[in-house]
Amino acid sequence: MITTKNLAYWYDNADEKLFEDINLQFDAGKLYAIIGKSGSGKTTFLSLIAGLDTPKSGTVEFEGEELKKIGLMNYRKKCVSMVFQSYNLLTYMSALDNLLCAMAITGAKHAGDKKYALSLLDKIGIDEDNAKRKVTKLSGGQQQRVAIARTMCCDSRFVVADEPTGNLDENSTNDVLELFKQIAHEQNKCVVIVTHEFDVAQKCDSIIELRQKKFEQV
Amino acid sequence: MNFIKRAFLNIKEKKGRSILLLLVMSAILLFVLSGIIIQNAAKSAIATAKESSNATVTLTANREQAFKKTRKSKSKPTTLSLPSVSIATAKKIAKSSYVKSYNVTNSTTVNAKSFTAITTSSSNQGPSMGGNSKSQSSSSSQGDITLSGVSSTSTILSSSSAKLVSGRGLTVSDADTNNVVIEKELAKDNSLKVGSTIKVKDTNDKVRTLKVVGIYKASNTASTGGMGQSDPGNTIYTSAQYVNKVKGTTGKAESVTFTMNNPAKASTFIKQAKKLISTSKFSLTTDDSTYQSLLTPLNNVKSFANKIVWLVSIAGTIILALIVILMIRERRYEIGVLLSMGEKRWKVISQFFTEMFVVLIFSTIIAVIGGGFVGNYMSKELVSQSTSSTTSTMTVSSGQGQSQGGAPTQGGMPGGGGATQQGQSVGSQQSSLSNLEVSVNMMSIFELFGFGLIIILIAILAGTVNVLRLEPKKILIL
Repeated sequence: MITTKNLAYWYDNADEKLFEDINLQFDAGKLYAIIGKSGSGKTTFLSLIAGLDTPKSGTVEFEGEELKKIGLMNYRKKCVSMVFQSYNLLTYMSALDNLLCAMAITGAKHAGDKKYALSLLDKIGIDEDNAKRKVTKLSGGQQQRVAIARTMCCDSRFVVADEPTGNLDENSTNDVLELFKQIAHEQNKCVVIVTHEFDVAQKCDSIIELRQKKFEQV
Repeated sequence: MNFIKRAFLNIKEKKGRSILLLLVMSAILLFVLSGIIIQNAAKSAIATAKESSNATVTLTANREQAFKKTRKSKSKPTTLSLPSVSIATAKKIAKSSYVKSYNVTNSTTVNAKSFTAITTSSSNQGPSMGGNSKSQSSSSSQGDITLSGVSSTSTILSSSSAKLVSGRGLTVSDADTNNVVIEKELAKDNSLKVGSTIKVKDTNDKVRTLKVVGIYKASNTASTGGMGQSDPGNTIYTSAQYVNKVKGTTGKAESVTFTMNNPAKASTFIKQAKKLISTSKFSLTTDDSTYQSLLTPLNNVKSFANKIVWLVSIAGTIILALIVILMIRERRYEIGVLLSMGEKRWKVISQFFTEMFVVLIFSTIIAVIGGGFVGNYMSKELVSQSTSSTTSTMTVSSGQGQSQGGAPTQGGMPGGGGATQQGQSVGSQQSSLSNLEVSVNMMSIFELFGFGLIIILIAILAGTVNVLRLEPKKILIL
């Protein structure tokens, strides 16, 4: 589904590359974990495959087509969904409105369908009362679940998550990982999460470690 | 959910911020509206002044050129020969679109025959002038009665210096008739009424019978113009054509006064009229002092209001832009999230614009409610300051005019008091300025709304340009 070819990235100095010659493939129906030390470039790699940034050299392909050709905005809109460590929900909206908003922007099949959004939220443990509350009134675990539900309601086939369990306790972490597994296995989507917690990574289908500017399968 | 719904949700959920924006925007629009309505009121007052201030252009013999010509001829003793204005030429000039009406004036002196002229004596004038002293009348080439020929008395007898009190005034239909309008004191002293007939003797000793059709009252301030002038009560109005008959001339006049439609066009009219006359023989002089004296305070008010509008708009744009910049910086994560979901940049800007637009609508309503009061108060202050400074300037110039007085007024108007009359006219018109009609109308609301739209557009563009040019990753990592 997602293929990187000779991917490299650096900030100001080309001699100080974060990573180089990265050739990876991520398939649908699998949950991947990318691990590595802080500052190793995990989040940067994620932003490249999510279309939030452009590589300095090499290419990222989605289903055989270069992201440049698809267009980054179009790619973000139709092909990929994101989950962030700080949830990044729209704070002036309810959980339900966050889902409806994401569906409207991405032009999802169920756009505007409140029942569908409520059923999705219910599926991840957010009842109707909580669904209609402002997201800032929900707990961290609940907010992250809403963020995951937001990726589920869109029709994108690729989900990326940056430290999705970073702010959560153990129980919430397990719940969130279960949700990601469901998305990957039941919805046949490709899910890539970045984490620095090895325990979290171990629960995923595949672990890739970023070490000394190279990615290695663990 | 589109950007409009997102905007409404944001306004609803962030009430504190929305109220703050509403207050700031209302304050800005209140002052902008005050400026706009004062500006509009000043504009309409200028238009009214143009219509009501009756600027005139007078066509008379060119005395300066006549003097030069006489001196060149070296004939002694010097006799000034002034050419008469042709009424036919005046009619051609009066066809101009700038002319509202025109008045032909032609005067001569005659001696009272069947009645007694008013005698005026002054402590500093020595023996009485004019009067019915037969010895004086006969020995002088100047008669004791001024026969003032006009086309119509409508303007003359509705001014502050003379008013029709009985009968009727003269109109164009009185041309060639012996109908006259006499002064009230003259009528009283000689027991004359409307319908009476009087007799006068012209310079050729020919007795002429005149029919009284109206009686006017000269103002108390009207006085003898000085040496060589008879009492204003001795002025009898008749048609210009009849005066020609008395003088033994035809189609001639001493002067023709053209009343302008628009005082601002007087100089254009003069340029146009000069093509039809010989400028070496005739001159055209403008009297638009009333208009000019009204124009000064109005222009001051208009220019001040204009400055208010621009200063408040610029200051308002800066204040709002700063608020929007802070607001957008605070919401950069929201922008990042929206962009990461694939939202178009213009839609993000449109969301902010919609939020500000809703605030603008409510602010406009508040400004319209309060703008009338603030505008009224500000306009009163501005007009009182402007008129007081102009009136003091007028008083000084009027005083100077009076000290130079003594020159007879044009067109046989009841003599003297020129400066006083002008002062009264200006004074009455300026007092009407204090009632400058400041009101909020649809046009000013539209103007205000336009200003508001421009202000929020600039503020939003200034606030968003810095964030929206970045990629979502950079916004989220900021």
